[in-house]
Amino acid sequence: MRNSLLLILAAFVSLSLHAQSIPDVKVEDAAGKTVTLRSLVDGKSPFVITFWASWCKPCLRELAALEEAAPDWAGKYPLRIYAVSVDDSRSIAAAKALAAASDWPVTVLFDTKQALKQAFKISSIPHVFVFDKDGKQVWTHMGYVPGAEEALLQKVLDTE
Amino acid sequence: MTCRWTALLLAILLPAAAYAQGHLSGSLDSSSIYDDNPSSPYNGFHSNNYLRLDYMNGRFGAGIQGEWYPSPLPGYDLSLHGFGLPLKYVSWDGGSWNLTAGDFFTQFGSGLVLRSWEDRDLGIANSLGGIRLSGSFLDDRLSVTVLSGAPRQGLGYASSQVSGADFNLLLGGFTAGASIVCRTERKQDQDMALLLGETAPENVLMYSGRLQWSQGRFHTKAEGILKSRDFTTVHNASSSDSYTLENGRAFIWDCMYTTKKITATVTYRYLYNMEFAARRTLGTKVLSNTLNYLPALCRQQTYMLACLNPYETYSEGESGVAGEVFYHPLKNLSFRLGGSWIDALGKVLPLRDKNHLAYRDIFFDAAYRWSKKLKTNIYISIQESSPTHGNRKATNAQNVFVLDGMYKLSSKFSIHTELQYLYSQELTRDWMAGLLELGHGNWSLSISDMYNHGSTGDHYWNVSASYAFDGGRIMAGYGRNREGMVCSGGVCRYQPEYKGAFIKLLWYFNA
Repeated sequence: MRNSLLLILAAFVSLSLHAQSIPDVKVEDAAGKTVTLRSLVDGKSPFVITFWASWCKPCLRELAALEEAAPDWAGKYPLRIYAVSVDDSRSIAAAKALAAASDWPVTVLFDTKQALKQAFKISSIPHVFVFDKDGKQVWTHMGYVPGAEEALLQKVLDTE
Repeated sequence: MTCRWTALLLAILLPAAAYAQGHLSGSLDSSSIYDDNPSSPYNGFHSNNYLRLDYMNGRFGAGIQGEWYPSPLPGYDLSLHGFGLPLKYVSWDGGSWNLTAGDFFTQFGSGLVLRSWEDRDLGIANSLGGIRLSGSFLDDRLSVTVLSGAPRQGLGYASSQVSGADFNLLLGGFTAGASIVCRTERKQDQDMALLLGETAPENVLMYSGRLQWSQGRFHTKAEGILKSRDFTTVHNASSSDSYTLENGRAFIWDCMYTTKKITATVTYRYLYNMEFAARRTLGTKVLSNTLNYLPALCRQQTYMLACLNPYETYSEGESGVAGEVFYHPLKNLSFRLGGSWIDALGKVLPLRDKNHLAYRDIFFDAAYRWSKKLKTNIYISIQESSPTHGNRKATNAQNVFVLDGMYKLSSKFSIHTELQYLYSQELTRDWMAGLLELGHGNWSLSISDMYNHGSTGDHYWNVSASYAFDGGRIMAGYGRNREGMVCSGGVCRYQPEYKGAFIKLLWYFNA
């Protein structure tokens, strides 16, 4: 059994793979409209997906830090950030309230059934992913400490 | 079963990979502790380990998850022991439809009738092993899902079978939905039928209808659920518990009003006999042995002392209301004020004939950003709960006060502190707690202590350090963990006390 698993792992890792790595999962925007994740791939600019929840304090600190940094970035970089809330039925109202009342420089999406969270194998938040213009994942980072937003911006610039 | 699945995946994935222009991603999640208290029942080494691999090539997808528990972490299901492959699947995305064969996670509506999901911190993993077909029609205005599968139990499957269908239809500002779920469990597989006679139904059905409506700044949604006859516990005043067959029902109604500066939400929920187990047992409840999602209605607490005695949903019967107002008058100032009131239904209480308080709370949160470097939060939570779920008049009250501050010394160096106090005349009386977190680049160091100076004099302290690297994070520490409930998303897991070292590794990779 374990040999079989190792065989699978070795076969995969030895391959040179380069394709769109974004799953085709549907989430909702603030207006309740369905957004297909692959529709975020525009072939022109990289984009960021960060997972958050209304009860996750580091997540809210990260989003507030992006808000503070936004004036420095505005107009200089083609930065698209999608903040995906993984709040479920218990806390989704709080998440929508926060998103509506905040000035985060992001597009907020809601993954209430956590299909996207499952597709990305997320087990802790905040968790950020950077994708290139073709939808290939180029960077991922877990947790937030002040200053991490600068590393994120640098990674986006490197991706361009 | 597992060997057959591995062989099947090998047969499909290796040829696919050989010609691959696909994408492989994976994750490794490992948590281990060493309890160094010789008198503890958990003395020694415990570890939960997960390796997940997913492969995607165009419309084709496949994945596998290996889990290894040399000895599960304290508080986790003891049937998790050894190595297993509880998650393996192949899928095909046909554009407007998707077919999955194998193990999958899914949710119907708000999850009151069906939610299969994974939360490793809680030890929940109730995937369904079988087949799922979902499709979208009419420009995505209509979506349909049908499925059938066996719920996961431990590293294998429960003896029951779950089948269901879910529909959602968008009509202008309205969204309408309906679901039906059937759990089939043969009489010879039911502990209750074996012990309590032949009356146990083999099929238990859950029906859900829901409606959502948005108009400008106002959003509302409602969901009603009916459950066919199933066992429910009868708590007797003068004798031990017994069981009876009853229908179940639930209703939930959410309203939200949003402006740029104020958002208000209100939720009402009624539950009666809504436990929906994967396998009906008389023994200790295992979190994963559930098919639906019944989170606590009250706010999810995050500060250490505020979640000392969390409320758990009383699935046998409760009704409650919760609300919250978020006010954001200035860019650097925000307030949250809210609360909840939950009653246990009188008819499920042995000593009562009408509803009685199970839990209520009020909370207030004020956040102010003094400058780009300094932010503070003040949090107050006033909680009152019934230790007998409303059966007796006595309640426990506790008032929690928190001062939370974050100071940025430089762009990469930060200090985060929390000072907390819990005032109570009941249970273990007064507590105080403190937290200091230092963050520098990818490093983080944390020291915390919870001290019960009102009664026991116990300290529960922790020291930990973490390092984040591209694609992963590693954390290690040492401390004493209090016995209690670990909660996430309104669901709680019992956590026994242990003292010792721990290490956690999370790593995500792409090929």
